[in-house]
Amino acid sequence: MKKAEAIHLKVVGQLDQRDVTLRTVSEACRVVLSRTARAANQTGLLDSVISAVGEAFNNIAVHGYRDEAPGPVEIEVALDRRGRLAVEMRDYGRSFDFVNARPPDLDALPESGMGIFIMNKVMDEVVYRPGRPNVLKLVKRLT
Amino acid sequence: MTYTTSLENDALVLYVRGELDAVSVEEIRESLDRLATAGHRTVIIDLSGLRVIDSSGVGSIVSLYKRVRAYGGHASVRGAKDQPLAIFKLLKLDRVLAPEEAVAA
Repeated sequence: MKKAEAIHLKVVGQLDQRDVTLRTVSEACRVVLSRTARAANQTGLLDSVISAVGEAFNNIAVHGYRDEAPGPVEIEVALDRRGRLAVEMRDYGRSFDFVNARPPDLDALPESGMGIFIMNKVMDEVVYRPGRPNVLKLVKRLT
Repeated sequence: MTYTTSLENDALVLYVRGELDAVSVEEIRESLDRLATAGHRTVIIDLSGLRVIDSSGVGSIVSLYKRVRAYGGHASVRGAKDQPLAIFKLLKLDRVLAPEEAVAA
């Protein structure tokens, strides 16, 4: 899919924008998927994307822009060169320490710290590049 | 997110509908605190109307489960489906919070 056919969104990185952001990203994913031959039966894929994008958005709103006024979150939804659904999120807040994030001890019934674990589990590829902007790329193969 | 409670066969049932996430968890926190200290022998969290959950929502349910268990009560989840069920399974919580449904699945 040509880069020009990507869908671009820009939202405010604050928690009360979470629901509208996820609904919009979900719809953008449906539009992008509708252009493929495998548009049907992607409910599970969409659930995974919403799970991952939701956790990422929480991190940006709660931690990323914690010490400043809420800033923008730029989201691009597209198919990558390998035909996978790719969602890229860019923010200009505090970077997240993705590398050193410890997986939760599930046997201990954790009540927090599960966000990055969920992202890594539901997506096929998660790439984070801290900086200004921070860039998070979430990739999922079509079913 | 909306929530209601009802008494069903001596069980306190909490129905949560819509989204249970970092935003709505704050709306339900006080009610969950009250529920956790009310001393009901059996607490059921009905998620059949829940569309989306995130890690904050999961944390609130796990917290309630642990608090009820701490005073000797029994808490469980029923009716989770779609994205919420996928998250519970991913976190291996389906067998803990909804053991009967996990076996039947």
